[in-house]
Amino acid sequence: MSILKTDNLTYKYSVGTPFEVTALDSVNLEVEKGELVAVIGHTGSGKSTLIQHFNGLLKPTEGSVLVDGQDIWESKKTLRDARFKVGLCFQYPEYQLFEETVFADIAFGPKNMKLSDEEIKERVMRAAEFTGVTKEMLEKSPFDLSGGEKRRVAIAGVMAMEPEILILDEPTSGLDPKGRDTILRLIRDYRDNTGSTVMIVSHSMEDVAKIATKVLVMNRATVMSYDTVPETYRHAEELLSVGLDVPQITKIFMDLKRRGLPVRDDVYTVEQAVAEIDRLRKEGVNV
Amino acid sequence: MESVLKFDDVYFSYDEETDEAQGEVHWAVSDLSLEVNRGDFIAVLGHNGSGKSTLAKLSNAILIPDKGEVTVKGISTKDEDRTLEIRRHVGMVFQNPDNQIVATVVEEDVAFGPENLGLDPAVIRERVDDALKAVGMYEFRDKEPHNLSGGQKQRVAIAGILAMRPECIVLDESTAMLDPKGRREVLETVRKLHDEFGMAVVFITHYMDEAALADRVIVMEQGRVLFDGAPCDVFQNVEELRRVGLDVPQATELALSLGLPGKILTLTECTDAIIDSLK
Amino acid sequence: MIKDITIGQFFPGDSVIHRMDPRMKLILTIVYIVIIFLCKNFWALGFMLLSLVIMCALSGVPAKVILKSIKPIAIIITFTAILNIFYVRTGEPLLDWHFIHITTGGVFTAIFMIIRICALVVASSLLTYTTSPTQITDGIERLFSPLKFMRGGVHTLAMMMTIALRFIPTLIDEFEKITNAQKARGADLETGNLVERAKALIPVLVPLFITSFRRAYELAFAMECRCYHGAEGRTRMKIMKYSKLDVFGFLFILIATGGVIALNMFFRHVV
Repeated sequence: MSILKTDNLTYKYSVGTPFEVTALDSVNLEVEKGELVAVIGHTGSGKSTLIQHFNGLLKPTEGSVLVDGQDIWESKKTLRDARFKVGLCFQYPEYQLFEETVFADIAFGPKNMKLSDEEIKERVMRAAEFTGVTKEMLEKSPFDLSGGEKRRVAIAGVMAMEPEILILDEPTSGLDPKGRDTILRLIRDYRDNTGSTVMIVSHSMEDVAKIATKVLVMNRATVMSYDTVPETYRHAEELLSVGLDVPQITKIFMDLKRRGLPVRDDVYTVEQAVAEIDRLRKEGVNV
Repeated sequence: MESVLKFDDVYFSYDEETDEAQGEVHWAVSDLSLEVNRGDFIAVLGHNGSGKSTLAKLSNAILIPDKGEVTVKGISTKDEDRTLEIRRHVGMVFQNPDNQIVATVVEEDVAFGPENLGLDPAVIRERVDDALKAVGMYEFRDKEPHNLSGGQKQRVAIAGILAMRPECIVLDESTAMLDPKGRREVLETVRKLHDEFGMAVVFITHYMDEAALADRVIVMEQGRVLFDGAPCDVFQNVEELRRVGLDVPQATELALSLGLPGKILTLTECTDAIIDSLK
Repeated sequence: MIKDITIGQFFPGDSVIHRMDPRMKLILTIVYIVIIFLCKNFWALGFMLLSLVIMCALSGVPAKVILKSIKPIAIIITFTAILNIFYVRTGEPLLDWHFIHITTGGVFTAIFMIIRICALVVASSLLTYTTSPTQITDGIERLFSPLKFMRGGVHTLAMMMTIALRFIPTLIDEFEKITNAQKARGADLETGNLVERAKALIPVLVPLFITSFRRAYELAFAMECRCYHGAEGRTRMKIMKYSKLDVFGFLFILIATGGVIALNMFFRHVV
């Protein structure tokens, strides 16, 4: 059974006013347990609105959201359950830190879940380890940390709730390449170690190619495609036509194909590219 | 070439105590020499904390070097009486578009700089209109800034600098908070200012693809200049760049992995080289 | 919710009212409000109301938008009306029941007060609808510029008002974002008593304050980089010049004052 499902999910802003906007238009989606889904689409495509439905921050205008087969808007209890089953980490999460110590901040979520002190401590420690937050850092004020460290603490705060689905909205935005790679690695490790379902919203096609198992492409309030990474990039032309980017490598291979080379059309990393060119070199081609 | 901005053996530290006899000094920028000429388009690369933002702040007298000298059109930034003149010549655009717009109407924000310079109202009006047209935001002149997209806000910020008619514009990670569309808008605008008006541009970023569009790339590491040269030359140092936490454009990386000849930077160069190598 | 407040909302346009000098509009609004309070009978009040309606019509701001400005103060109006109905004991008695005494005087006074408050609110809303926040602050700065001896005081104050106006929408967005982020971490902001709710706001307010300080710091930097150095030697792009329109406005308010005084004299007072 899918862990997350939407049924004709529709959401409209400012209903009944001249400013009414359909942000989501009957979205049907099924996410299997354990996937690492990358959500892509440009600003205004509905991706942010979509993820805010998964933990019940937004209420569908029509249709429903099912987590673990349970309609989250059925009762107050199912809604509260959804808040904890689906952890949502917003963009620039470091700006929500507020506690006196890093430990207390990471413990905020688990505390709201009314867990025992012991359980809270265990969870904080586990989340800290996943995110590379050291023992010394736990005692510090979150405001004394560097930008990248703050980001990891904030992510730990959501991970400590140990949600079944972890959703991160642009977790790497504003970071330098090193900080970006650290965050992507820890997200992948978290999923590999816990078997949780993870979704990341991203603008960077290179990031997506690095870690995702599935790609959800949003365009104009609807799902444009939901498929594996190679399948998604096989349709690079369509992505480009709606103003989305594809990895540079994919573009190079589109160009090679256009110029008559018999190359595969699902290449998106440097390694794959090298292997493919080596194959051509061995097999020999007429240029 | 006429020099607009010049760094001469500049040292700067954020530590209160800069007396070296007191022990180790942590230099945010050290031994930095650099010359920006009229019409240059320079990208400054470096990870967070490499000193690239300090470099920006040193360039218009927000920070004053502890040792060495920064001069703007021959004026030392140490000359406190001429700070305004320096800031008029070297304009700066920051990272967060929301935190640099002062007024509630686009055109009034763009007028802020010229107003501070004490210009005649008619002159200000003309400069504001010119600046807004140059960044393609003229139709938005009576809109409220908070309703604009990130890329549009940054373009308004650029117009605000442009209206002071500077010689050089420094963009301190001005694309870091934008989506790809916004980044493209800002980059195209800056490129246009350079190409059409000959404005010197210092573009601080950590996006390699943006740096690749510059005429010259400077890589900063621990407050020093690690590489300085044309993008295609600098990006040849894949290992070294990786070591300091930076990327190289995928086209360059692929070309190097395949052992293709020449210094490859762009997609077309890469496809051409691949096809040549298969002949 | 918080976004529904209409006061301070600018309604762009090019009407005669829009084109009037903001200083004159400020003066007119203040004088108008004073006159409204000088009105002693329905004739005088009706006269002022009529002129307000004409002004509104001239401004081109839709009637619906103007009437919306009264909504937020509906409670205050109701409250004042009730107080007047029950406490004013002049005129013919209409109802005498236990401790409740309603008289014609009370009813008239209540109606009078309602009209007065509505006129007051509509007049000030008309000012903010037709004058951009920046123009208002500039107007204030220039009206008070004779007070320059207060060492930069007026300019600094006007600058602060401009920046505050500029950042209100940004901070509202920020507030909503942080609220959502903390809700996602299980924060419960909707239930509990007043103390509990106030406490629950800490995780929202602390980050909001910290971000605001960071914003202020960065903005100060950005302003310095744009050569800001206080009022000294600063010019403005938009010059304020009194035009014929403003003379008409001034004449109008003179006539209105005279009219109200005359009507007050010729007709019986209600309040």
